[in-house]
Amino acid sequence: MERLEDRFAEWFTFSWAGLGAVAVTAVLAYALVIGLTRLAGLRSFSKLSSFDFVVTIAVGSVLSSIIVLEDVSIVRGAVALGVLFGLQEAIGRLRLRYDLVARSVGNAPILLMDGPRVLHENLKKVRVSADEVRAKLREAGVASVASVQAVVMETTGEISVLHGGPAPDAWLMEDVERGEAG
Amino acid sequence: MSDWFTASPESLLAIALSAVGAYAGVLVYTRLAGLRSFAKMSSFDFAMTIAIGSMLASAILTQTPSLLQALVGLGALYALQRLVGWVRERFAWAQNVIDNEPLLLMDGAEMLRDNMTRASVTEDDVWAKLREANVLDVSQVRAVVMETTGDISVLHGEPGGTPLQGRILRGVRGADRLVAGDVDQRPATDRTA
Repeated sequence: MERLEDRFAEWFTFSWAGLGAVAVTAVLAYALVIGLTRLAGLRSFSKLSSFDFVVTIAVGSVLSSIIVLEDVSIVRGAVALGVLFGLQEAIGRLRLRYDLVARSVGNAPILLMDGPRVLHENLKKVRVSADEVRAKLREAGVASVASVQAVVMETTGEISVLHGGPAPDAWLMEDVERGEAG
Repeated sequence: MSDWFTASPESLLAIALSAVGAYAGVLVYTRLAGLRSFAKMSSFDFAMTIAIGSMLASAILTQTPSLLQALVGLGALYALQRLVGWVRERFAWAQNVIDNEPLLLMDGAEMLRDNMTRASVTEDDVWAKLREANVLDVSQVRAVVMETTGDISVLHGEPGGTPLQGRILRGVRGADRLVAGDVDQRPATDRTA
C-alpha cells in the first residue's frame, strides 16, 4: 500500500533545483525562438502552405518540452528548433523557385461552388459536407446563395467565399482545380 | 507492450488531479496577464500560445514535469510574454529588434516580385489570400501586406472608391513605392500623429 502511495506522490514531487532550471530554460528558450524568428523572417509563423500551421505547433511544442522536461536539454531543443526553422526556410525557397516543389509539397486548391451551384463531386473528394459549406457562407456574410461567385478550399484547409460583385477573373482562379465544374 | 494499453489506478487519479490543478493555473495566469495572453500581435505570440497548451498537456499526462514544475514553467512563459510586450510597447527600438517588419506584397494590382521572394511567398499563395478576402477582380486590390505575425492583409475596394490613406501603411517595408495617387498627400509630420 505504501508503495502505491509513493508512486502516486511521484506525480507531485519536485526539487527546488528543478524549478530553478525550468525558469532559466524558459528565458533561454524564449530568447532562442525570438532569435530564430528574426533570422527566418515573416514566413516563420505564416499560414501559406499546407504544413505551415503544423510546423508552428511543433515549434510551440518543442519550446514547451525544452522548458519543462529534463530529458530535453536546451541544446537538444535548440537543435530541434534550428532544424525545424531551417527546413521551413529551405522548403519555402524551393517552393518559390520550382513549381514542381510547390505542387508536390502542397495540396492544390479546389473549387467547391461554381457560382450558386454546389459541386458535390468535388465536396466528396475533400470530404466536406454541404452543411459545412453553408456554415462557411454564413461566416462570410452571404445572405443569398445567388450572390455566391465561387467557393474555394485552399491549400491550407481554409475555405474562401467569393461573393457579391462581378464574377472572379480568370487570373484569380488560375491555380484552382475545377474538377466536375469542367 | 501492455504498457501502451493499461494504466494503474493511481496514475489515473494523478492525471485527473493534475488536470484540475494545471487548468486552474492557466485560468489564474490568464486573468493576471489579461487580454494579451493569447493575442496574435507579434511574430511569435502564436508559438507561445501553443507552448502554453503543450505544457498544459505535459503537466497533465506525464509524471515529469510534476504539477508544480509545470506551473513554474507556465508562469515563466506568461511573465516573459508580459515583459516583452511591455518592452515592445515602451521602446520603439525593442519592437524593431523583436518583431519582423511588415512587408508590401502587392501595390494595387501589381505583384511585387522582389518582396515576395524576400518573404518566400509564391504567386499562388497571394491568389489564395485574395480569394480568402473576397477579392473578385484584381483591379479592386489597393495593397497586400504580409504582417509581423505572418498573416496576410488584403486591402481592397471598388476602383475609384475611398482612396488608401498613407498612414494605414505606416511601418510597412516597401510602402514608399505605392503609386502617388493612392497615398495620403498631407505632410509627413501630420501622418505620424
